[in-house]
Amino acid sequence: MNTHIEQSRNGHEVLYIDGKATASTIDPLKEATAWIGSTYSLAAAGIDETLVVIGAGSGYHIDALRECTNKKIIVIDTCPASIEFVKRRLSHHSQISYIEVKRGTSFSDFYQRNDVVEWVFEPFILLRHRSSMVRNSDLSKVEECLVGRSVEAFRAQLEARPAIASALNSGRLKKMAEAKLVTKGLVSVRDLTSVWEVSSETSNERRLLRVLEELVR
Amino acid sequence: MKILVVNLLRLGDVISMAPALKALRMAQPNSQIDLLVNAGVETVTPVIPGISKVHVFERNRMQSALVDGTRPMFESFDVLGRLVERLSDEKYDVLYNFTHNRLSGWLCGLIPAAKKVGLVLDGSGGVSFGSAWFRHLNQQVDFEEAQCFHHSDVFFAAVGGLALQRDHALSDRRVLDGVLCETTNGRAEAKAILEGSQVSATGQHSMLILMQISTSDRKKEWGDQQFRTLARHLLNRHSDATLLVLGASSEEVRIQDFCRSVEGDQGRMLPAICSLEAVVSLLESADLLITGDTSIKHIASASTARVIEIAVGSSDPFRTGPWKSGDVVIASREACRPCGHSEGCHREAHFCATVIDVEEVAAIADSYLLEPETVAKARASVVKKFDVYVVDRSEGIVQLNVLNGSSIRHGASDRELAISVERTARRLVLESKDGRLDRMTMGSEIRFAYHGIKEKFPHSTVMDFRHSLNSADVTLRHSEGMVRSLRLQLDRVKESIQDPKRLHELVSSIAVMRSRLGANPWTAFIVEPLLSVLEDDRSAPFTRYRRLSDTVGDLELRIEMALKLIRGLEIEIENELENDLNNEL
Repeated sequence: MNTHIEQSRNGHEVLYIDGKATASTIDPLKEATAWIGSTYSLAAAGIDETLVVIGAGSGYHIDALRECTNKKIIVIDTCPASIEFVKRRLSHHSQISYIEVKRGTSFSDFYQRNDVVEWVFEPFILLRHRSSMVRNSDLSKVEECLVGRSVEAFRAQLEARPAIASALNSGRLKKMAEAKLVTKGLVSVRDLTSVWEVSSETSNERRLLRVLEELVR
Repeated sequence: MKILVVNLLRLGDVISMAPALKALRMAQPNSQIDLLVNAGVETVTPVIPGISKVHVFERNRMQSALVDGTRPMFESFDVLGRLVERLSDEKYDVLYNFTHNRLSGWLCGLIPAAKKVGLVLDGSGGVSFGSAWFRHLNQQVDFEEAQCFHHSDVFFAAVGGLALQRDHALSDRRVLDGVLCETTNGRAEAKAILEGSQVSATGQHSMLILMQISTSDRKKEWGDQQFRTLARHLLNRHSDATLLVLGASSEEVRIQDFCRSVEGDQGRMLPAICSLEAVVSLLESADLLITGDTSIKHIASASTARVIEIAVGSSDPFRTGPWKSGDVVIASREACRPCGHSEGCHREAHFCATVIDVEEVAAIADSYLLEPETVAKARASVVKKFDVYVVDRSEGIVQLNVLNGSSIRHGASDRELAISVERTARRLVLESKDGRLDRMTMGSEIRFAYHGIKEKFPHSTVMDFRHSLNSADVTLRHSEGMVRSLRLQLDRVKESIQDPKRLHELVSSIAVMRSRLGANPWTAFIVEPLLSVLEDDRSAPFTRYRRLSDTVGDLELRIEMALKLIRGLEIEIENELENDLNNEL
């Protein structure tokens, strides 16, 4: 992976990976502001929720995000050079932490990382830096893993959530997964209710699901 | 003591529980009262005094995360899990669920608390209510309008408000006074609006009319054209009046257009785009609010401003209408009204709105602004095309008295009187089941009831009442005999629970009683518990016996309360007749 740094037209450093710029070569700050505006409402996040950004880019969007919130920000990328570049520029901000996911990391391995486990089972807001994702297809795998709705990602999530996994009927779960694989359908929380084990009907997890079922009835 | 009050409905529903919250504060002055409400609804909580903490149920976020394939699959699950964890950490002593739907029932089942009142579903779906009032709320879905209790009264009674009011001889005004409070921000916002109009900030020198033309659902709206004509009329008729058209910031364009469309009166008709906090302060200066079924209506019920609600579509004034004495409800007589909340109108036109004639509404508004209440009521009584009700709280709870119904013209029919008496008897039964009624308090309840009935049927004479009550007494005594015989049969079943023959005989007797008494207006309420007895119930004998025992117990309590009430009313009538006679002599 070849990297180098160039100045944007208005004088800001932009990281190039394999000859492709990771931010606007004209005005990266303006691009970052536009990204904030187009992103899923940050107001929806709870007070102490984590913002998870897929794609480090050249970090201008992270900087813009930091300016409009004091929430914890986690930046995930598969490109070490990109993370290093952003870290160097924003290293003094303790609000931000970085996760480098190595190419080919399995979904299961991702969910077992200590720096992932500490936030992934709490509510978080997922923010996608599309400019980074377009340039780096590995980031789509990270997204798939965090959204957790493909059959593989769902399996990995279940491994990491034993209380739910143990309450599911393995036979029905297998059938459901097979059906979803055939149709390339996405798994939803509602699918869980159809594979729930009768003996676990009174568990707290099942009762949480019952509340959610009422929300979409 | 730490108390959590759950209300996962809309703004108006949260405001209508304010009297219950006041009762809680009065009963437990040192307690911490927290709320759990839908996200967005917390904007109203600053005007409810005595709230320590507000927890938010992120309904919209969870709903959208469930159906949006790009959001993390477990987002809604984790958001909900975290909320339950936080609420569990609070270690509440008492939980009140004022929501009454399955969603809140499941949720409240997950929150630990030593005592839970309101609908709660346990892990296996078992239902508990913690108060006879909430159990009743579950049953009153099928009740006729006049038989229902207003939701704010159900909440108030369930927290012990009626008993508190009775035991401390609190006037209705005292109970409702200060259920909402002004805030500094709201006062400042209202002052700025009033300064922009012709009304002084104190509201002393001219008439202030507020109008809320929009509701949360188009189906509940009377229509901009009707409101426009009404506004023109009010401004022409009352030269010193200023009319403020209320709206939230999301409604600004519509409200501005509306105000502009009333030509020539822009100076006296102004948009008031403001917060709910400002509305609370504006209502302190207002003479009248004309509105549809909105949260503003509930705020106004806690103020001194007169309310006229135009109840259209799914608005149900008997359950969720205004709740202050003297507030007025105007509603069509269309058979389909009130319709369901989530269904669209299935008629050719929105008849329940169009039938409400602007001229007649204007005449009612005029008379309520200018004339004594008795004259205003008399004017409303001649309206022919729709019903006009006035809220009466003489019994301590909301009662809607129709001002232009047949009972007004001809006196109460037996059925109307029976429904009115039944309502009181039902209240006594519910209070008794919640352990809040004794012999001492029966007397004041009966006096309340007598006063209320006379108020409701002003054209019925005391002799009319006596005649009806005598016939009710005979019917109820006959029913009492039947219930005694059921009790004897039940005792025989208990001696030999496994004997199917005795059980069968008891169930057959219940079926006979049900068919004999169900059609009589004086006993329809008494036999309600019998409707749940199933002849083909295949439960184990002991379970079946226990159910039948509960049913007969309920029946006995209903008969006892109804008879006490009827006899008490008869005594009140005799006393009044005796007094009249003494006065004549």
